[in-house]
Amino acid sequence: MDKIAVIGVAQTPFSPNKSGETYADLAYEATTKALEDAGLAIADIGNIITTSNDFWDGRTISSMAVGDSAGAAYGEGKNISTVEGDGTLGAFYGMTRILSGSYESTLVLAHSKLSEGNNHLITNAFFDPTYERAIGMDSLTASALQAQSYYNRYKIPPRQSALAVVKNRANAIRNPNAHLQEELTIEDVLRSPQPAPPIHEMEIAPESDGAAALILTTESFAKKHGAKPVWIEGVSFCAEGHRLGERRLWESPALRQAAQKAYKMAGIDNPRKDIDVAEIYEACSYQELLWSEELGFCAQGQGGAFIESRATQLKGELPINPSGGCLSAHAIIVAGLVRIIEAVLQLRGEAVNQVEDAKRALAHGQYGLAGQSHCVWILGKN
Amino acid sequence: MNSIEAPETLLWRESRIKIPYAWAAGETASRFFIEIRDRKKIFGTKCPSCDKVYCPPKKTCGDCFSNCGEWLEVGPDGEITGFTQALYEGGAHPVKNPVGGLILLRGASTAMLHLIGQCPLEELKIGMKVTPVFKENRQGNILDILHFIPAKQNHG
Ligand SMILES: [Zn+2]
Repeated sequence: MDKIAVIGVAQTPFSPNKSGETYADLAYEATTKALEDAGLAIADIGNIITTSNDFWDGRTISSMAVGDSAGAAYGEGKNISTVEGDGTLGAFYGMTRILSGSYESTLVLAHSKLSEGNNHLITNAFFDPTYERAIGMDSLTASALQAQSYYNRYKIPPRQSALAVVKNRANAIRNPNAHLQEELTIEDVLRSPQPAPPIHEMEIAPESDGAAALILTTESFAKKHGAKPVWIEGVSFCAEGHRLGERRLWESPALRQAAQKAYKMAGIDNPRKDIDVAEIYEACSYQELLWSEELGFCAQGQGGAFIESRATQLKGELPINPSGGCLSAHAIIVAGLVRIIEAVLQLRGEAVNQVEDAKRALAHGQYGLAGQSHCVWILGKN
Repeated sequence: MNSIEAPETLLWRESRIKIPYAWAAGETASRFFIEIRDRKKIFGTKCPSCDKVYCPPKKTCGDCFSNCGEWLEVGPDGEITGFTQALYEGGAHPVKNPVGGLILLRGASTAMLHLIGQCPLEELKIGMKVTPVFKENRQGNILDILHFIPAKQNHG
């Protein structure tokens, strides 16, 4: 694969209700900050990808509606294309547009405001209308079914998944963009109510508003513009079947496969050793444990023991979510793009909780009920 | 000229999106619902290459990318492979605080997402045997099965 660089990144602060800003305002803020970060003007951008979901935006063709705020109408008008899904998928598409040879640079934007719609009704609509939707489940209850399946299979004690909340919310204290920043104990987490057992309220990623953007370019473009590039070493996106009842919810073959393919591209044999820091998308606390297994950081069923070993703490062997992760800021769609952005900041040495001498980082995004699809990125400094 | 300043208050436009749809159930789901509606029988479809029996039935086996041509009766009893309860208000809930379960019917290889009733959450267990309660007035949809209940309750 030709070398592709990430040369500009930006995110808005995330908060529960950005009532002073429309989608377009958020898109403009993220876009202008990303251009500034890269030292570029909108005229330099070859093409634009916007990433969104119509149900959350409460309108159709939501991605085109923010086009002009992302620079698509500039000059004679630019080529703009859209992705419905997580921001990591938008970035994947953005990368392939450069690899096609048609563009030297892509601006990838993602936006969402969870405050404006009704997350329960919107994610109930993820379910098949004929067989499943009338049962009334949503993304939270789908995750609860997965958590139960995982805990039951491997006898994971509740305190181990609560550890992900304690770690991530504490990491978020230094992250000015985070939505939830708090010092918690395991007991605080396990004492919180269980809206969908076995999941506790504090174990659920918050519903946030915000946007993020990044700029991808060819190697020659990055050099020409004197940018500070971070390189894509490997990337893969895989999905599994849709219906929960057809999946083995205690595992994630799609993530395993995406990780192994990305590792192969990047020449990684031992991910736990070869990766210095990981930003992964956990919509509920248990996912950090389960995804750690499928990413090959520990053996299957050992996700709880892995986090308990403190290996994923800021000073641990493989820090996970030093930014605070999705448990601390979670604008769906945007959240995966922020994982890539935080990984880039780590490799530049500019992260809020900087991992010492980070040379290689992993970023992960997911989309669909209980992690139906996964996108894994390996980013490198050199 | 005055510059734009933040107003004293911020406003929202409140509305809702309400669009009628008629989603085609298709041949496979139509037959499945008709069997339940008219005969209280539950059918699945079988993949000829991996022998997996899908219930609810589907036309295509995603694993083998082949056509599930064969129909066979499954259940009506089965076992719970997963469950949770929505302990919050939700506009999509068919009953207050629904217990959602994955039900693997006897003879099926995949589980059906449905409601579990007549059993407190604390007493539910993975592997528990359940049996369906059919509605009196059946309309040809998934809620023609009111819910699944623990099998022992049915026999006294
Ligand atoms: Zn098959």
